[in-house]
Amino acid sequence: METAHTDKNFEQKLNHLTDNLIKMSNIVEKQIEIAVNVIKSKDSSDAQTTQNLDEQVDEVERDVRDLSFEIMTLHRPVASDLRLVFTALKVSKELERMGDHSRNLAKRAISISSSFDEDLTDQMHNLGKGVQKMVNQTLESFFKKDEVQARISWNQDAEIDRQYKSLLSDLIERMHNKETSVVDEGTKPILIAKSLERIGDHATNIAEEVIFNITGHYIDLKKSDFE
Amino acid sequence: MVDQNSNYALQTSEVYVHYGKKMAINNVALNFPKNEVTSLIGPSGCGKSTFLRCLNRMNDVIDICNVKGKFLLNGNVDIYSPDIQVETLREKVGMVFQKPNPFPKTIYENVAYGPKIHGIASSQNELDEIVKDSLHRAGLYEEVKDRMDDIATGLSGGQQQRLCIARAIAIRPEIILMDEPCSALDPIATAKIEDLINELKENYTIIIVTHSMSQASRVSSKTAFFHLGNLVEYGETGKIFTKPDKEQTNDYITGRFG
Amino acid sequence: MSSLEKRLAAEKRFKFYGMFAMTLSLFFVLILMYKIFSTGSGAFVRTTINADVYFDPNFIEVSSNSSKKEIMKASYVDLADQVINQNHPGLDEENFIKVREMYTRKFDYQLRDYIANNPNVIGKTVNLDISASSDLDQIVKGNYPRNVPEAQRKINDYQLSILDSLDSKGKMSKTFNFWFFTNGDSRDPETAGILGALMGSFYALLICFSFAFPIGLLASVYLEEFVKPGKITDIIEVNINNLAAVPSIVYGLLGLGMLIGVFGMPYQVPLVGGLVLGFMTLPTIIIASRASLRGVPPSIREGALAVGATKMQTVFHHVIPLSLPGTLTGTIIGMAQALGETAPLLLIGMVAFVMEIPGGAFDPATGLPSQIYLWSESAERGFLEKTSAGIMLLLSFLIIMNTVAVLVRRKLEVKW
Repeated sequence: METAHTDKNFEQKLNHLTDNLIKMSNIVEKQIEIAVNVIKSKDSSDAQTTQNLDEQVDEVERDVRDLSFEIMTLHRPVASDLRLVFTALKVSKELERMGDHSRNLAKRAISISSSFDEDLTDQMHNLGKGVQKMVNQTLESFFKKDEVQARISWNQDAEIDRQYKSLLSDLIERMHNKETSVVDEGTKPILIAKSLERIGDHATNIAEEVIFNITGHYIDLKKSDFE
Repeated sequence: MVDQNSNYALQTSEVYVHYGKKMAINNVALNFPKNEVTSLIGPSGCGKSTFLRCLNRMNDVIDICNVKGKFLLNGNVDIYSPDIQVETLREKVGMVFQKPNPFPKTIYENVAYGPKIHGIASSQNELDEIVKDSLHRAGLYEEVKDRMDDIATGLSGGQQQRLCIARAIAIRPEIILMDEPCSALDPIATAKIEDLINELKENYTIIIVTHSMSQASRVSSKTAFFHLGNLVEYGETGKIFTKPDKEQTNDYITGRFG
Repeated sequence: MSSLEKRLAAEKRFKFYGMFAMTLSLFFVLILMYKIFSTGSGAFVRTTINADVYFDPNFIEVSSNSSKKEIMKASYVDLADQVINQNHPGLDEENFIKVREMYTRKFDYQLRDYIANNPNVIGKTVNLDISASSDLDQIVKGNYPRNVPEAQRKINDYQLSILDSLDSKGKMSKTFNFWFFTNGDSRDPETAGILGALMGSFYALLICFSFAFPIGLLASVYLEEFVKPGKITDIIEVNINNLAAVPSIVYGLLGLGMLIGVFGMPYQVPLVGGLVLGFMTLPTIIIASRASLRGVPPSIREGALAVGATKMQTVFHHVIPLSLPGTLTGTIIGMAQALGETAPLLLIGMVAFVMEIPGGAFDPATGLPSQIYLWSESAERGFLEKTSAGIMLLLSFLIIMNTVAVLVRRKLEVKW
């Protein structure tokens, strides 16, 4: 399908870059999955795993950053190659932030006591599952270079936001009502929800990069007339 | 594709060029906006130089070369019309070549030759002014003003090429064609010429054939990509180098070409 | 021996062969030079006999007031006899003739020329060095052996005794023979000079150049730049190349048949000789010029055309000036060849005894190589050294012309 580069060295580096991104995506998706599960399971060893995975993410992110810079310096990429390198840098940053959020939310999740309201826990879990799916679809659209799928997953952010806001208002209402199981946890549930919402935001950023990589334009997806 | 719009210095359409039976240019239509730099890129043998040479009828000297098509200068003059004197055409459309080719005469004589044979200057003073002005515009005057009577071939490669540009400018063309003008030059000389091209476009329309993609991206506002005699894509240079429409174009400029 | 050693040894051997060949050829050249030089150098020296010359007005027909023309027309044979009488008094008729023969036969001309340059000398006595006869000259130079029986000698015993007596009185001397350069041909070797042949060759070469160079240059320009390559140009090119290899005597035939026979041009003149040499040199010039034109890089032509020059302007302003070194070199070499040609001149008559120095291209003349040939055929011993001297002169001109060709090429060669 795609012809190979005349410069094998260059070709190798570009492939290496993509491989790193794949690696990073896999780790981060795993992180999110584990973190979301920890909301319900409260397994502290799982929480530790997200911590460990985060170190790997950081390492790969550094690799992507250095490799991108090297490619730009030595090979002066243009057109499709340039777009790839450009978006690789930004996507890796987004992924790295996602990883951070996952780690933080897992840490907070295990510190929430088991007496916390089950319904709210479920809501958090569902939000997390929604975010997980959105991230998966977005990353798939990146590697498949699927513009349509990118747009669809971008649009899922609306639903994520809605769920987040609903959860938030529930939490606040219950605090207002001075329900002990909620009040005792303080800001932790709010922050967990926030982390999940932020992961969703980062996913929409990635979706925008996907579209740039494919079309060469940054479009305001809010204004685009796609249903 | 051809219109009376005089915003174009040159409009071409339905261009076919054959060398004997072999086709070199296949149905190309390309318009060149005034006072802009258009670059023609493409792999070796793609026809870009052949196309360029049609624009000032340099292909006339090659017997087996057969040129067909419409070439309108300023929207109203067909340069291949039998009414047109090719020497007058070349007053309007100048050319700078790949390897600098100054005449083995003095620097002054090199620049003065064109105006002399076209009778542009009415006095020696006027001729001197034209020579001085052309050398200024080519960014060479300061370097040679004290040695105008030296033989031109004693200059460095970059200086010789700027002299050739001065020579082309001296007859007051509207369009300057450049066929890989920096191929034979070192990077500093190349940079000087690219800077010069940037200045020249204020007063001339420039069409440049180049092997160097980076040069095309630095220097031109419009880029045309040729392959096997076909015009594959034409557009804003920025767009061509970020997101060309055709995959073939992308493959070429990223170096994936077979 | 390893392969490398073998190869190096082969190279060494090859270099040796080359060096050997060069040395050998140089050796032969030196021998040739030595032979010519040693024989020819004698021609530049002339034996003279010192004598008191009383310009007795009784024996001179003209006076000091006479015009130069009158002086040149008068006869001075009597004066010459008188001078000899005065310097060798008391000779009987037989011995007088013998002594007279010791002096150059052109003694009277020598006197005439002296009077013409110094009309006031009439009535005065002047001490002059008078040329000896060729035979005497050769004896003095040692080219005739003295110690052979009288019958085998050109100089008899009596003359030898006079010679020795004059010698002991210090009256024999040698002077630089500028007559070699100022006189035309002569039956007497001592007064024979090369000037006639030199002028003949000069006019012939002048005509040759004036004819062949412009035509050759323009023809080559036309064929190379303006004509489309095709069958006709191929035929012309083949013919020109062949013409360059035609034996030169054929051109002589052409001159004889066409120039003299059909056009009625005079026989034996440098005009015809020059034209014949011109025909011969034309193919050489065309070939050299075409090669030179081809050597001008297309980039120069393109540069001129791109600036709006017409084909004519491109060719005449740029291509021809740049091709000139090569063309001129070819021309000069062609001319040097023409200088040395005898065969074509043979048929149109320029190989004959001509005494007068030609004043122009229409006067009968001979050429330098022809003159050398004529002298070499002569019986007189005195002509031997003149032949060699002539060859020296011819070779000098050829060397000069070839050197000029090299210098012209170097000077005009421009780096593009």
